[in-house]
Amino acid sequence: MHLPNWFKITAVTLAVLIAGILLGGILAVPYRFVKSPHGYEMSRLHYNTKNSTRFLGDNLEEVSARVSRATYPATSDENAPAVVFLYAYQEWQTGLAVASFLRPLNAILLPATSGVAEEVNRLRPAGSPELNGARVILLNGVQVDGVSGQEMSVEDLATLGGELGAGPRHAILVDVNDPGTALLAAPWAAYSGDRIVFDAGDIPDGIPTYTLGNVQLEGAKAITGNSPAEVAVAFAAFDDADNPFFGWGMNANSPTGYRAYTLARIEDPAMALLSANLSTHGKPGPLLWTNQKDLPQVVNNYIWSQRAAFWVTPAEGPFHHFFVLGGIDTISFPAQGQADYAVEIGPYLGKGIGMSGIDLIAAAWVALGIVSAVWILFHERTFLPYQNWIMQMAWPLMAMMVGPFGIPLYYLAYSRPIIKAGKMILWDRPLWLQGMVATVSAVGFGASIMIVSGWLVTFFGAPLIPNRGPLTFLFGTPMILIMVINYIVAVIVSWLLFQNPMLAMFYGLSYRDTLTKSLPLVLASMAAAALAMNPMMWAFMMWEIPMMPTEESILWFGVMFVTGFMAFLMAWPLNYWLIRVQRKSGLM
Amino acid sequence: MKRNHSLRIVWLSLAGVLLVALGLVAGVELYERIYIPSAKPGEMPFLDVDHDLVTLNTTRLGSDNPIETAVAVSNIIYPATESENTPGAVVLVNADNLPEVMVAASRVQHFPVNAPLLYVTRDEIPELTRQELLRLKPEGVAVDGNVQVYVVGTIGDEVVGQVEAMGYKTRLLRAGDPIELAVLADDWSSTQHGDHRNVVAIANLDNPSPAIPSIFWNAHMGQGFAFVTDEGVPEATMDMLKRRANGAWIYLFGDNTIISDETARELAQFGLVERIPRAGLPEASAFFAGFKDLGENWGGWYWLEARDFGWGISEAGHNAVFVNVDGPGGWQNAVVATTLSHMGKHAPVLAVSQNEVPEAVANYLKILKPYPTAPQHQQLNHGWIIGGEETISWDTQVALDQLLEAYPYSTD
Repeated sequence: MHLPNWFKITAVTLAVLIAGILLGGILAVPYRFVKSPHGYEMSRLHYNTKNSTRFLGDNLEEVSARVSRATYPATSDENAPAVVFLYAYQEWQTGLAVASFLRPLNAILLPATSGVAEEVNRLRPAGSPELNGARVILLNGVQVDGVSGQEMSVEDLATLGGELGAGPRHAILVDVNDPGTALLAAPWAAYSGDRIVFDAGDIPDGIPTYTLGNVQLEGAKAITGNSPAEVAVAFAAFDDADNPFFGWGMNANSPTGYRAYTLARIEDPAMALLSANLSTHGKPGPLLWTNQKDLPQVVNNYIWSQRAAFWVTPAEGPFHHFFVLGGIDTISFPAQGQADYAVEIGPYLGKGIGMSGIDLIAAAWVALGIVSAVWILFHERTFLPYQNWIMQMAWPLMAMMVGPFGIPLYYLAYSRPIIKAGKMILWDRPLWLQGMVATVSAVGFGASIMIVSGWLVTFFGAPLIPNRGPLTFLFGTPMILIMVINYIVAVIVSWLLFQNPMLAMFYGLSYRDTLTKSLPLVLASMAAAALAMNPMMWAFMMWEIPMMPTEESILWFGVMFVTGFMAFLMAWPLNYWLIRVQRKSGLM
Repeated sequence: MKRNHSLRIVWLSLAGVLLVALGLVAGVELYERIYIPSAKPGEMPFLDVDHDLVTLNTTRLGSDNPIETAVAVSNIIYPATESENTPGAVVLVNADNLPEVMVAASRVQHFPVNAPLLYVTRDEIPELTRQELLRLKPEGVAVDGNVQVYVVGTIGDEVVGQVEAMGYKTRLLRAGDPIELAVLADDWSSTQHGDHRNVVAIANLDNPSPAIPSIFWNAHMGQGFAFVTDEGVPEATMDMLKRRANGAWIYLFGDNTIISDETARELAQFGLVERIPRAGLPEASAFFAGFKDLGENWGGWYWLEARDFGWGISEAGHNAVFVNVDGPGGWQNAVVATTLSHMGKHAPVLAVSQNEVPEAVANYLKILKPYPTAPQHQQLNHGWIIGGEETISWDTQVALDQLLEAYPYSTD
């Protein structure tokens, strides 16, 4: 049988289209993820998200007033502070040094901005018995209009603080000139009461010491990193195997806890220092640094690594939360949105773009398939010049779907003796292998066409026809309609362009005369393929995978390709039988 | 010679494949641009109260105006700054019809739709709702023809026309009355899943308030929902219940003063009937937040699907949506908060009044009270305060904050 050239060109073009659409769909997956966030200028009613609270403000005073109110609503004595610590906000070291005393003294730490009197009046501090009834402590003699209080040096407070309760368990030695690492100690000190020191000489006797950043001290455990953002992450994750009382310990080994982070900018130490108040009660947690536009990679990765996973229902928790310090000019809303998505609770199996195990398996399967397809294409064109041209397309298409199995199957098929049959070269294969090769020619095109069709239908939106008939409602179901559409498309395309010409060669008939003979075969082998693919697809997508994947996810391709492999396994026995009864050939 | 020739075709084909692939990626990008409206949302009125009145354990959301509250909820759940935090669709509901909103929240919001509720009236789209529609740019529901806006309830063609003029693809779920609407939504949802949800929450159309907690649960779980009336079980509801292949599991919201024992017996022909036996909304909300019913659903032998109805929350480390249906915004200011059960903190609703935490709610919260543990193991609670100060006062918010607080204020 001789086929016109245009026919061959059409068939090759179609195969290229199938592979191209599949590859394009696969490439679109990472492409979507690397797209940068948008909506920097988007107008909104507020700047909170489902997993975060922003302390909004145009300046330090506004932000600290909102932090102060959230920490101490002061509607009654029970939720008002005993005492307010004011410090000169240019000297963050002063404020940092007293963070340890906030909880024991029921105190709030505020920067002494020019209008802070208003907030101090709102707080109505009751007065601290430990500080002779002082309501306001003016640290290191800072003065503000409209606020009177007791002047006290940090040293005095430290001396006094040492006598409070049990005293500090640990000391944290920080770099007095490096707010990017030193300030990270603030929330921890506020939470734990551990002492922050700038000079090794000030470490209280007999307590273990930890260092932050580039500070070095013999005998102390160091928490370090190449940048402040890295140190922040290292501190957040830090736990000490020898000491259960130090460190947030928020790492992958602590499974159940609720994470609370504070996101701040390194450029405004006084604003970042407000994080100390946020750790006195409510939602204590580490300080993490962010950029204005987006999260630093190390921070984003860390938050992702801590993402909560639910096992039974998303209502089970844990629920992570984070605070944002400053207005959108300080930390953009898209940066907040990025973190919001990273902390959102997700199903254990398939944590969104977080590449869970199942995503990785899917990605590996898909990648292996692509590599195998390309290898086979080069191999067959180089070493099998007499291979049938339709098989030359079927093999790479099949290989693309079947991950690790493409090359072994190809090897089985062609490491055989050849037979010369007139002008044709055939491979001498046992029946079971002939069945396999016939399956490759049917399913290689059929399944890949079904997947392309499925991709297009999903991309443009699957139809849904609501109805209430006892069984007919099933035929309005999108998944079932997709299956029907995929089947019809696969039958028509594969029949006219691939299967019919193959069989025409086999029977030695004309293209037209073969059409009626080949249609039942195509219907049957596509039905076998569809029978294998569709229940698998349904089971995976509707039941097994908690969030039904769409064509935007690598998991979709993983599922579809694996079902393509299932189709191959299912159609194999059928083709074996067709070959036995000499309705098909598997020698090409 | 032959070899070189043959490889040229391979290179050509691969180049073709790559070209098609890149073309497709470009096409995807282009299509997504065409598919979203070009009109820009206008400036929204900033709600300072949502940043002024927050505590470490609570976030205030919205104002005393339900249209603003609906948008504030939509804002908080859907930042819409990247694909992952953009909704699949938006559900438009009629702000004058509580039962219809209950149907929409119960049946349409959940995955795979993933949509906030926004208010319109029969003939108009409020300006703020329009802006939020334009801001969200919903992605379209892949398993429903990429529908971007669901119009649920008695909403006129004028509104539908305006939504479509924005460039959005719509699906209309409209029926003569809420009973029929619930059935219609069931048809649509059952067709979508290829399965009828066997678990069905029942509200009394003539007294729906105690069933408000069910819509928050359903926004979270996407289970069934239907109406009865003071007169009994409507024909349409009976037919709907019969369509469940394996019988229904029926949960009545209200004691026998809300849904009569007779109606309960009538419903019992269609499946197992249980009750949330509380007449008042605050009591029903607290009761249902702790309610959990597990057991038979369908299947057999090695393949069993259990039914699972109710939050069953009775330990630290959970959240709550606090609403008041008697504020100046009425029920409208409460029911749009269901999105907060669907995403984020996945919280049940608890009903309070403006100046008081009802005893049932306070007692329930005491069960959830967290306590200090190791920092990496802490269990924390969070509360959403829905509405402005006229709806829930600052004092009430602070009282709730204290009930949710894990750490004592002072170690003294």
